[in-house]
Amino acid sequence: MNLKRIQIRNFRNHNQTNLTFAVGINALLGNNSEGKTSILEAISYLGLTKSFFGASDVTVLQIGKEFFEIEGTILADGGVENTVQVTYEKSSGEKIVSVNQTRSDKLTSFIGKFPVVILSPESNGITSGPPAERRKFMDLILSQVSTAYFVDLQEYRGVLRQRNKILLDARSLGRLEPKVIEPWDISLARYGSRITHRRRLFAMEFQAFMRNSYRELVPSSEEPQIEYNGIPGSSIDEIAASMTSEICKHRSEEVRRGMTLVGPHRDELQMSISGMSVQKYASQGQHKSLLVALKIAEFFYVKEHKNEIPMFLLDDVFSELDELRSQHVLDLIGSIGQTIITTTGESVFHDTVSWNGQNRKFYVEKGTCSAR
Amino acid sequence: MLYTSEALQQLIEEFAQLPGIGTKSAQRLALYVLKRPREEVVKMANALVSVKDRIKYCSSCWNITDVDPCIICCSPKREHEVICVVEEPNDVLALERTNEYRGLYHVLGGSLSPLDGIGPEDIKVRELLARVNGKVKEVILAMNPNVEGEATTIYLTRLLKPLGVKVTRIARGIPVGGDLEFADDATLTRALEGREIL
Repeated sequence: MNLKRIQIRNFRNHNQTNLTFAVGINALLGNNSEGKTSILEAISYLGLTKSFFGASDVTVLQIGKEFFEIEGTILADGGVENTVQVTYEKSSGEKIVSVNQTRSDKLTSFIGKFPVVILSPESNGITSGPPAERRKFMDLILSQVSTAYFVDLQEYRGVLRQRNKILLDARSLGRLEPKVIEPWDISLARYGSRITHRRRLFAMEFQAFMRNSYRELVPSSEEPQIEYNGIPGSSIDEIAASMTSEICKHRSEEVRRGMTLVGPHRDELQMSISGMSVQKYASQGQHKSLLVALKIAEFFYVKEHKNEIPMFLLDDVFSELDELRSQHVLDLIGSIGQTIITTTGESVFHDTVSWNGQNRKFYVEKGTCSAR
Repeated sequence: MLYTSEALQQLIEEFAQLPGIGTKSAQRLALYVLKRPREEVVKMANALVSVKDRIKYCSSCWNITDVDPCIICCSPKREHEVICVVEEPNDVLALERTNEYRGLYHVLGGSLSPLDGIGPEDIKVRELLARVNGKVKEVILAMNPNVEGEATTIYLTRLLKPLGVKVTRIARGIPVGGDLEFADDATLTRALEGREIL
């Protein structure tokens, strides 16, 4: 996939920014807070219909403006050109996503059409943050790769909200009627088991992708590992059965705490390097290398499953890496497809990247952007 | 917004409260009403009031009706051994349009949704169970395909099965007459799961 052009209007500090990207490395250069990351954020709207670091639509709307609009021309690997448009109107609070002038009503049929992989300072939580960050990491990959997973996830979240309300009410009442919660127990196990199963398969398959990319970055004998910790079981039915019995065991505790305590929303993707827990023991350098390796692995995983090369967005990555690792990253991404990189200094590119037709650099200043 | 007539403003505000109607549509409707002859407007107003005054709920199936029991429940032409359970009266209208279904209905008046404060006591479940006596052979569950409809289906299945009645649910899948390639991914995914052996 190749993002050929993007037009950004009234988005963050971009009044009107039009860019034509090259097929290889695109470097967005400029000082801090000039609007480099905002361009990546706008691109993430084209793939995910939202900001990659969770900013709300109102937040990214330029102050004093009534709407923002992002339009991208995307060439799919099969050779078909698509125009994707995301507009948000402040007065109605409505966000409209359309592909080739046809409105895309359902998020489930849009997500994954134009896959993106994003590495930004916000991604740091994947290796060092709470388990929720790693669940988000898996969910974003799997949702882009599998519509079935995304649908299950949406429905699971719906069940969770309803079920939590019952438990919250039960907590304040001091009692719970079994017949009120039982249908929701079954729904929880039904969707929850599918999510757990899919994530477990993902973890097993993803391991090889991650080891490959880690080895490229860190030439040592260190072996990273991931393992999915959740309700046990090797088939959906098995997981559903253990989930149902776990739900029964936790009944009184769930009422006491007023929330659902069993299910994939509490699972963990355990990461370790050579048998040592990453969260507990990894050095800063290991964290950084592992994160980059995970993202490169994500890129290849998505590529293999979608038969479509994702857009790779890298936000301010080199300031976190030493020179050697930066070179490794550049070597790796230089040949894989289209990447869009923000950075404050261009020295990192000197030895490896030539600014020919394949690669292009842009200077971003006060919300305007010019190609050099 | 300020209007030059208080009466007009009031009408626009009333229209704007209707589902699916925003302020702009409400303005258009209000101005349309203004242009109609007086007798037609009176007719419309009377229709609105009589909906509230005359319509009651059928004491058997809980559909909306003028007479109790309703014409579907009274009809000797319908199969009284089959009951199709739906969430709202609208769903009855949809199924009746098919001209295919010959059984009776049962309108629950909603689906289980704790977030909206709707539990088993708030929908017509007890009334349904009372109807499922020896004569009823099949209960078809036709809930909406969302998590609330799903939970309602599970809940009813658990209550109905022990009564020895055949419990079925309507299929989820591809719209008839639509091309497979234009079906949205979520529907297609569910349709694959619900595939049948031939």
